Amino acid sequence: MSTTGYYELYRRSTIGAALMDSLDTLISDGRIEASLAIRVLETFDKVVSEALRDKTSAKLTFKGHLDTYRFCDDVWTFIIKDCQVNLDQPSTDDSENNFTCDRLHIVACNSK
Amino acid sequence: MDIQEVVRLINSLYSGSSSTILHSVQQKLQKIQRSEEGAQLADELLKLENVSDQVKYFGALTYRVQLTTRSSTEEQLWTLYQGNLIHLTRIIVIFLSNPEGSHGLNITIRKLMSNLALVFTNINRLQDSTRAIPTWPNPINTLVRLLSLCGQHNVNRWYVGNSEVSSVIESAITAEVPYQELIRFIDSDPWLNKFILAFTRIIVGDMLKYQSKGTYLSHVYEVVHDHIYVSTMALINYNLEAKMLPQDATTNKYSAELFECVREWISYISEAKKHSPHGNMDLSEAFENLIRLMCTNLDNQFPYSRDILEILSDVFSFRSSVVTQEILQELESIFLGVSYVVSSQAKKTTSLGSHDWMLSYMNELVTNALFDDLRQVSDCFVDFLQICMSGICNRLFTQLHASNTDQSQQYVKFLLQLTNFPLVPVLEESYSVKMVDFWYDLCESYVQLPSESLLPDSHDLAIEIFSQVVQIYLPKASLINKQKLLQADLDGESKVHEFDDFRRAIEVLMPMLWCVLGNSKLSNQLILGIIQKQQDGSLDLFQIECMAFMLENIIVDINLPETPSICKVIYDSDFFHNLLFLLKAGCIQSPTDISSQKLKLEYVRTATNLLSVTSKYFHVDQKDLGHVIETLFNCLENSRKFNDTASSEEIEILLIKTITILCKNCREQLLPFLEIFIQVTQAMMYHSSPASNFIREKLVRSIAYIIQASAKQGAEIQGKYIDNMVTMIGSSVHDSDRDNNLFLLTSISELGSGLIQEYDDPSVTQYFDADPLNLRPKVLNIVESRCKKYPTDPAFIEVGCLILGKTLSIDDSDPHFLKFSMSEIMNFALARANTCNLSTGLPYLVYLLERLITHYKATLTRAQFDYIFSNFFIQHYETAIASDPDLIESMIGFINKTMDARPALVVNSSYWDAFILPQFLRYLRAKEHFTISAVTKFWTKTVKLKQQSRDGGLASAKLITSIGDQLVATTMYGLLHTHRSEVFYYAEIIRALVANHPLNTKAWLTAVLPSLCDNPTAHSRLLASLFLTRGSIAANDTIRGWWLQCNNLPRMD
Repeated sequence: MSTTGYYELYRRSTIGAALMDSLDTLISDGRIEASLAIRVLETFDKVVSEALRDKTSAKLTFKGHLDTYRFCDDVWTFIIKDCQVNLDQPSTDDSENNFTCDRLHIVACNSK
Repeated sequence: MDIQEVVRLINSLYSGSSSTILHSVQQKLQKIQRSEEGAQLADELLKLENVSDQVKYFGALTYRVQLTTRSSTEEQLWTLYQGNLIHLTRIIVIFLSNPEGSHGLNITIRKLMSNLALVFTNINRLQDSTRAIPTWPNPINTLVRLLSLCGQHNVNRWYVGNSEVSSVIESAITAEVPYQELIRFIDSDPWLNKFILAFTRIIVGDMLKYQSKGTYLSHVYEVVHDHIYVSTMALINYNLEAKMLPQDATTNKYSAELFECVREWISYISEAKKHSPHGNMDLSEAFENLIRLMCTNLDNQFPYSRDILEILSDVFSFRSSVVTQEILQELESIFLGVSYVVSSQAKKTTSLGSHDWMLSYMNELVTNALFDDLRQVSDCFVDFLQICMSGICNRLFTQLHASNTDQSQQYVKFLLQLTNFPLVPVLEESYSVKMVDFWYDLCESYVQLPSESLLPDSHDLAIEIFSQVVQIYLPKASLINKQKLLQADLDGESKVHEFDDFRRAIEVLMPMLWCVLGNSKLSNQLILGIIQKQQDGSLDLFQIECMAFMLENIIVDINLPETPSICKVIYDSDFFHNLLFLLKAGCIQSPTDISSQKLKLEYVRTATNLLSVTSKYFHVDQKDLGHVIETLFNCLENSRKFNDTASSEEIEILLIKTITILCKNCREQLLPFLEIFIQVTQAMMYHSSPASNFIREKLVRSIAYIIQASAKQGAEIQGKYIDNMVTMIGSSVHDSDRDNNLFLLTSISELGSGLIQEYDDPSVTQYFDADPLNLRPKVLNIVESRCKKYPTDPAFIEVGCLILGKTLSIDDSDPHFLKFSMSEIMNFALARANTCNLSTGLPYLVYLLERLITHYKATLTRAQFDYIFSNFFIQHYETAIASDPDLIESMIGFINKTMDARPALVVNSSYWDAFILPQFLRYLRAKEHFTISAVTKFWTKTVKLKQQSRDGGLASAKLITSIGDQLVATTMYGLLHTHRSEVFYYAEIIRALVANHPLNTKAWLTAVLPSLCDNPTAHSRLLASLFLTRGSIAANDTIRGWWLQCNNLPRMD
């Protein structure tokens, strides 16, 4: 609805970090201005957020013991212990779809 | 600056020239835009006549560049402010003289408005009374006043530099425009109305962008609240009341701009509320007007309903704080016909009872099959219910509010009716789809209510309501609806996926409803649904599937052997018979068309999933176990005859997974069937069975689970079974087919995995340690022979390593037939290392060696470690490892793993000084991500050795004395030249150095930094901050700041 800013958290994903590295190279080579790089990243924030919302159907369910939770500055944080994770994706191997972890850290923000 | 040349450049910029030319043109134009002449250029470009719209837009863009780069002084700001206002006024007046032919000017007008929005924010953000323009209270009034005056003047005299115009502008900055004048103004021309709406929208829209970047806007919120809000609400409400006449709906020029303006203001107010007390601005009148327009019904025409429902849906989803209780009350009355929302005021004379509109609108949508619009209504409605959730729950179930029972019943009845909307879910209606979340939340809210607040009959009421919810959703989730979707001629499969999501949502809802309904009213009812026959005695597949699908998610959390109430219902019924009927319908019945093939797959999936989760039932009753196993094998054998290849492969995977789970959970109960399992496996091994290797491997693992249970009969019996299996596997493959030979090894690995056991009878351990049947030599012989046959095939090395390392992660006291000695493992690994292709084989060998080191860490000697390191790494370093980043990573990873297990092995190695330190120091300058990641971990561990033990402390001190300066210099060099995403890795080493050797590190950093790059400010800031920071985040930030400054790059994260 509005043009409010999107979260920058996906910049820390592998694809976001790779994009920033590439933009750094372009700036260092004098091929683009820093301001354009920032614009590219802002567009990335928007697009990745929309793509994750609209173009993904994979689902993940988990069960575990909620150890810690907090809500600060519109960001939820959950730490789940002894967590059993199930991925909803076609696979021949159970171990690829079901796994356990000692500690699962979830950071959740409002969708924009 | 030749203006014609600039115009030529701009036109070439938009003419689609080659990228080289574009780049050069861009560079030239950007240089001019940023220069001192930028403002003059903007003015010249905007003044030009008979030029393209792009040229004018470029003029407005140039003003923007100047505003962001050259507006620090009073004079600069005033010039830009005047220029933007003069040209905005001029261009609007020119536009009004010929609207049809001036559409291209729209983009320039909006850019100039956006520029002025920035000026507005900048001026009011500071509120500096010493400035020439201390505040700009209301840009709307200024523009209205200037447009009125410009219209009276000759537009040709309206140019920058005209002192008369300057003084007009000066007086317009604080102009007050009374309400009547404002209304007269927008009434005078529809375009003026649109432009003023656009201007106010752009101002708050841009403010949202600045706010999201963390700009301090406290004063601006105040100015907006005191001035622009007042004018805008007058504009919006006047437009909503006077300009949106139903009969003009189709020709209305304002509606799009007006609704866009309303949306932006709602967004702005909801955000501003979070940041400032001046964000509290009432939108009630606007909402009242919107609701009135929404409910407009002109002979079953609903001109504005769609747009306004879209606005309301967004409000309920994200911005519910802007709606008052009175508005909620009114909407509840419209949506539900009854209102529970408590108003702090007395009931207002609003259109309570407009529920008829809702029914008429939905009726119209259904009649005309406008399913997208119907979906929109349901979205809005359910989002509305979600924000009233706690109130609804309290009204229905608690004593907190005195409520009328009839009203409650009517309320619930309406909600249930909507959920039970009589069309196909997803395909035609989405009420039931959206309402799943509502019922889930309502049930959760009810469950969490304190018992003392509940009404006496609330539990009965909850059971009644949620039982009805179950009865509504079961037929909705039936695959008969998926069949309709599959048979409908749809573009793509998105609707089918949506239906699958809907089913999963109901599946998640069921366990929540179970909290209220329990086994007697839900689990057992679902089981009864599975066993129920139709009147003619036949079984309804769709019903069985749906019940089984829902039951699975409930049973999965129930320990069946300890739940006699469910076991009894299963025991007394044809539960497994009907479940196997469903399974057989999916596996061994021919499909009639493509859609039925897809549904058959669902039958199999549901039946196998439920069989898996009910497997522990056989702990208490085994009467159906044989039939279940027999049917599963029958389906496995024959499913290919009745299904296409892709489907049968998937079906086989589902079947074998179920068999494996049954064997894992019912080992002892399946012992009597062990011979049958072995016979089936033998048949699959020897004959040309169509079953894939995957199926055969999993079958071996299943048997292994049962064999594991045979230990109770004695170690000799178990040993005999294992021997038979190894012999059978070993003698089953004689051909030279690579996949069959690999299958042989994988089967042994699976057999080993299935036999990992914790067994407290030492005689079993002793038996397998003594290995009277020579199982280990047999297995080793099979593995060696296959690995020799395919010496360079990494898949054989991988599985061989898995077999040899199978017991390295289990306790020595646990029995296992694959407990190889260290020398056997080493010999195997060395033989492979000498014959394999290291680039693909070494990583698997390193995996085996890492497990070996971890297992034998207590007893391993320095000489043994040196032997391993020499034979697997040093010998092959020059020929293979040095040129392969993956192998370098493997080598460093091996050292890191050993450092974790027992650092002394590495630190005291003869290769520590001779090879590891110098080479790993060199790798700090590497460019490959994985090398950097591994080697920085190594150095961080090494520097931190001081914290681990006295020996470690000595080694660390010695290291720092000898190569500390080189380590710091190389780390900083590597850091400076690395990518942004890798800075973090180097920062870890620097943090470790600063924490463990602060004095030395400071001296070395001071010496090395000037030689790396000429940026003394950055260096001194790094040195000053680094030794003061506490915590990893602050230190990483400091180091990243240094990296950014030295590389002259912007901060992006």
